[in-house]
Amino acid sequence: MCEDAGTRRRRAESAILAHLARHPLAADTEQGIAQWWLGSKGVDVPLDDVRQALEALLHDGRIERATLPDGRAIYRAPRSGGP
Amino acid sequence: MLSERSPQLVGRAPAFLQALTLIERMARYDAPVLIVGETGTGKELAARAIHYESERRDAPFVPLNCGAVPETLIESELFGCERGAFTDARQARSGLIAAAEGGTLFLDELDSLPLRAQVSLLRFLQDFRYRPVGGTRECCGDVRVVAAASPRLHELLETGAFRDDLAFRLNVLLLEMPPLRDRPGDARVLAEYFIARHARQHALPPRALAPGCVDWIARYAWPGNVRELDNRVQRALMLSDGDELDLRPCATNSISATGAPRSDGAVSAGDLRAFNDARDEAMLHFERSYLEQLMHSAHGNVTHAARLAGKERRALGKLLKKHGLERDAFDSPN
Repeated sequence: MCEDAGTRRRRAESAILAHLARHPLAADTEQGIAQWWLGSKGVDVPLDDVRQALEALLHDGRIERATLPDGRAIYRAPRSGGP
Repeated sequence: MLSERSPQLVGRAPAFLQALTLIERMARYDAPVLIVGETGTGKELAARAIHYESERRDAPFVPLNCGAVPETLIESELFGCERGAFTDARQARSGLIAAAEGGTLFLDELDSLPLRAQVSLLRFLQDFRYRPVGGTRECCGDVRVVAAASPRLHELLETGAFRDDLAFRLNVLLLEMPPLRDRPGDARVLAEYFIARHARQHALPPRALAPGCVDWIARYAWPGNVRELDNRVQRALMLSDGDELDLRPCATNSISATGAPRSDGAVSAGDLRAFNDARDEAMLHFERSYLEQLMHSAHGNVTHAARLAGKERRALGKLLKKHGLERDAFDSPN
């Protein structure tokens, strides 16, 4: 059965939060999160859904984003200072 | 086994399995790593595999494309800066080494690192101590540096444009990611993997490779390597119908309307992809077109072609091999 985008996004959100709960110091780009935080746990969703999940978590203050000088960004559990 | 934890690392060819074995071993130790390989061979994927298989897996993985940062900013971006260190430094700021604390700093396109930054990085790698730009306090960084470079690094070392002492410091552990043309059988394995994956992700019906394109997949040189194959599968899946999928250019003429770079280098907003991917693809098109014209002009004589192009014969030979161009395919004057 095919999941809709909303379900996939929520699954990605849960997996990201679960990863950060177990590894509170972890940080990576959306690509790395899709491949390693989610992919290795069998959560195989399109990168667009991972992107939307990260945006939603960012909006809710559950994660923070640090922009890298090459234009990419890493996501991690909230902490102070940057990048 | 590594590939079970990283479903992205797909392949069965001996050269690829050897790279996987090395990745597993390199993950056990904490020394710097230098990954070399052509564009699209999976250097960043390999760097992440080393990080996530290592003791540092719970800490950050921070990637930086050295070629995308202005020369004047790269040191402050790596090491941070104190307030007033330069005109725009209105407040003290930590750098990427601090962001990667406890984890891995991945320096991609290392061959683009300016000479001055090479000196700073070398100094840091000697004792993992550094001073933020404009500051006097000394900081200590607990990071593992994994760097990636294109094969052009060898040329830069020969001409002195890249410091050999930095290269020696980084290549304690050297990993070469093999080009797809040196991985017999893997193009088909990967094509089937990408078809299944993208079809599943985009809720498309499963499709099989068209029998007619299987030989073509094995013969094609794949100059853009795994990334090119992945892009080709995605485009074919989205732009064609039927039970079978044909990746050959002749079968997907419509693909060029969205996939290939325009001759003026521009892309429409809907076609925008990551800068590096678009640049790499444009570079591949340029290389192939240039080499074909060059070899025609030189009537297939590689020595003459190298002279015309102002390149070393060996370097030109490598480029021809990368694009699967055989000298016999070009007209001989006799």
